[in-house]
Amino acid sequence: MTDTILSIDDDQDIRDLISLALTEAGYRVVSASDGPSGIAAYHANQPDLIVLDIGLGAMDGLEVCRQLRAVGTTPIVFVTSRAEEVDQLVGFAAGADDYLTKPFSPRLLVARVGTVLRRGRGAEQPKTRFEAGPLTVDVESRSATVDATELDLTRTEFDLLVMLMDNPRRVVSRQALLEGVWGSWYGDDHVVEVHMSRLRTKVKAAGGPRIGVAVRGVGYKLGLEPALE
Amino acid sequence: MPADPGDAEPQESPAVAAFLAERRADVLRRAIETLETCSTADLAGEAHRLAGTLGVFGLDEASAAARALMAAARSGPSPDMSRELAATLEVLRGNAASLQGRGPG
Repeated sequence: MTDTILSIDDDQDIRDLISLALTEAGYRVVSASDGPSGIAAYHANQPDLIVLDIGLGAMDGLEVCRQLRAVGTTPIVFVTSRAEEVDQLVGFAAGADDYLTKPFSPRLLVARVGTVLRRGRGAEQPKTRFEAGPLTVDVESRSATVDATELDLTRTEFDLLVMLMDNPRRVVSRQALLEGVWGSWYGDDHVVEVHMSRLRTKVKAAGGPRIGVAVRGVGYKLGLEPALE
Repeated sequence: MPADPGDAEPQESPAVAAFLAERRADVLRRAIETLETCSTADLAGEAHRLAGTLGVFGLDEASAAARALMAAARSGPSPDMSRELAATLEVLRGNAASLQGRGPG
């Protein structure tokens, strides 16, 4: 299905250029020339992404962004002549997902739009089920099994297992595990090894393979091939 | 003499490149009209907007002139602002004349 992009810019030349570049890239484009008509076009078209100029006149792009954020999560890319860092920070604070400064090339705009759309989709649908070898993890029901045998895991062990299963071909650093499982941790990072060891023991006791293979000085890897999706 | 505008064409698709080339003269004409008619109070804001638009259309020299005008106009009317306004208009008119001499594309 074709994604719809809403372009809100008071400059006719820029609006026409954005429309052409995005249409050529395969998007359906709807345009508006000011804040109120942009918000109306948003409600009428339910776009997948909004390209928004900041300098729109009476109702500027920041205000449009705030109003749109109050009613939805559609990704917003600011396209503006305001290039100062503080302007970008204000834009992100208002709810922008990305920020492109004029002058920009149409190719770069198309690339940014594609990236933000993909990122948004990834965030919408986090993976909740993982399979590797005899191991299966269901995040929603917080269950982990080795073949048909249910594992009795603590919250920490379960979260460690999910992080490894979610990164099956990577070494996950101790720091990443600390941040992902404990949120913040100011003590000895050997806490990871302690819980990883308990997790290994429980998986092994259920007839599973050795998981959580230590990579010296770096972190841990799952040690199993993930199931094909 | 101003540099020939629009020579450094980015690697856009043929349709986008053609659009940019076709619109440059109109973009310059509107920019000149804007600077000739806008109030002193609006000058910094308009120059700011034009710097972005002219740059997007590959009119780099005109964009840089508009940016210099924006900087000069930020603190209100001054001899410096008047000088920059005249210089910017000269660049824009020079670019427009150069494009007219080349014809479309």
